[in-house]
Amino acid sequence: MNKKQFFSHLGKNLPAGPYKKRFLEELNDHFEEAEMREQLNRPVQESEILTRLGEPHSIVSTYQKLMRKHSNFMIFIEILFWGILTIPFYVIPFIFNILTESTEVLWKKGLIFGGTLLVMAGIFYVLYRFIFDGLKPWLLVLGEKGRKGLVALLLSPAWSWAIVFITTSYSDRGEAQDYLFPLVILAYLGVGAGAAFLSMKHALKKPLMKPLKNNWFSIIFFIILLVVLIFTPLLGGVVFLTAIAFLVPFITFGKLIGGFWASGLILTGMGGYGIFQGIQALRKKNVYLPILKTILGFVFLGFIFYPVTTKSEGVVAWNFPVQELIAPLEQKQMGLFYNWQQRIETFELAPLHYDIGWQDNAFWLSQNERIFKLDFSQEAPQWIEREDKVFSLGLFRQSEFLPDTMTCEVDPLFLEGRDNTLPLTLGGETACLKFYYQDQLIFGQEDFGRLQNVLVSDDGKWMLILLMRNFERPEEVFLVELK
Amino acid sequence: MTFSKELLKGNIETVVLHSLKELEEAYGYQLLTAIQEESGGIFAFQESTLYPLLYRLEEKNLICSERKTAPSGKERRYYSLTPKGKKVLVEKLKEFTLFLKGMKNVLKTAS
Repeated sequence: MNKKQFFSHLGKNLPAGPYKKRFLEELNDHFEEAEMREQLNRPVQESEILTRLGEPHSIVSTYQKLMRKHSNFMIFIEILFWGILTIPFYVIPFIFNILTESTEVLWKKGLIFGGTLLVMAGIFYVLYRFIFDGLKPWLLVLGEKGRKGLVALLLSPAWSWAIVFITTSYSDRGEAQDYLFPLVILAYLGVGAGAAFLSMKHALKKPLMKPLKNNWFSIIFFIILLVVLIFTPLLGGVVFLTAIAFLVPFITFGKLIGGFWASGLILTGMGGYGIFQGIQALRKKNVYLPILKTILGFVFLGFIFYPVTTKSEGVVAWNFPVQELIAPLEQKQMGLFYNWQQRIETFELAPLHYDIGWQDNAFWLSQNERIFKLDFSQEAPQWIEREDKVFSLGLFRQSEFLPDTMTCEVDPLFLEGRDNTLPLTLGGETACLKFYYQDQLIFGQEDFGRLQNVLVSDDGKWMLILLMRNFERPEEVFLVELK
Repeated sequence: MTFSKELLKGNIETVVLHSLKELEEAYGYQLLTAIQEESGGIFAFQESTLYPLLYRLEEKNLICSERKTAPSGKERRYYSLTPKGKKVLVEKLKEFTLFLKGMKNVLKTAS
């Protein structure tokens, strides 16, 4: 490495701040002075002075350590930024839940919340040690552009999920995702590939690989990271994020509770990062900002896990549609109608290869190339496969969607702040926003975006509802007896 | 024979402030060379440590800097002690003298 490369590396990698220019200027002066003075005694090679000044990555590291105040401030700003972005999603339901809960319920939730927080703190500590210890040398090697690329890469799939979640949650029947999804995938590919390129471009320069020699942990970590980066746009990113997003609550609660979206994941990461940065800095007796960061970290984590540990009753739009923590899915005999459900096997890549239809006085279900008929001759209705029947996939598309008599109303009981226990059995979930058909309750708000098809039998006695899969539930078909 | 970096870390500000007092004003290279010579080559810290340390001292208003032309004809940033820096140095020296006295006493007892 020559002098020009040395300063170019420093220029790219030193954190921005009021002293960066000055530091480079003074190092340059220093270099010049050493050349001038020391040549009086004997010829000094440029490389000798460079060796004495130290490796560029170690200069950057020392500089960052000594100028910590600035980077702390940046972390604080980042946490604040993410906090402001996500406050509408977390603070509002948080306050809303407190206002509408009884003291007894609050105690229970508080206990679950506290326990969850402790377990999560442990998990985050392990993740933090693993990820940051493994990444540290690479982050220095990647250079400023590489680091930005890496962050963009990690965030891009997260944002894609966040956009999909937001649009499918707020739009009618998720129609927005028909055109949004390809766009998101394209953005995914673009940002992912661009960021991966930027990250790798710097990392693969030979002289910069030096600090990683004999650091096997980092090398193994990098190989894993590389695999994730390569496959991130479509496969790796999704697998990586969803695995973390679902694995963490799975470990914590012992079952998949779902509803743990990418925006929450980002904030969780920031919160966890803030906490451990804070604790680390506290050990170095840099008191005020770390305390604030630690508190902020816990507060943000709280905003995430409070809704996760509670049922989604009580909040119309912002809350997580989380199922009950422990209660298994149950079939219940409800007051007004007999509700029976038959779950279809989940298809990973072909969600549209099934449909329902009404023909020859019977409900039919096509699942890939198999045809089933709903048989009412048994005590409980069940799907019987009919190999003699052949329907084309397009046939069932003619079925009626959302009859005019189907309406959507806000439950008045909820608005009065009373216990909301209206009979709704989709996954054991109760909800405040419900669908009615001919004055009868059908299903709740959180399933609105999943609605794909609704059929009513000719005699008006039965209704079949086909729901698409979403982040936490597979495709489902519900049969409702209308009385 | 080397010593733990932590030993110097606690006193590095005192060393720099004291050297600046002796030199009255100095730029980075001069300061580093002077410290190295004065300490008989024992205190040798890197440029990447010295300059951020100088910025920190300047932020605390213990030293000030000014870009001037050096005898070589090149522009250099010269550092010098502020009145506050001089006061702090006196305090630090008192503190260190007391520490040194304690250390001497302990080591004497131990031997």
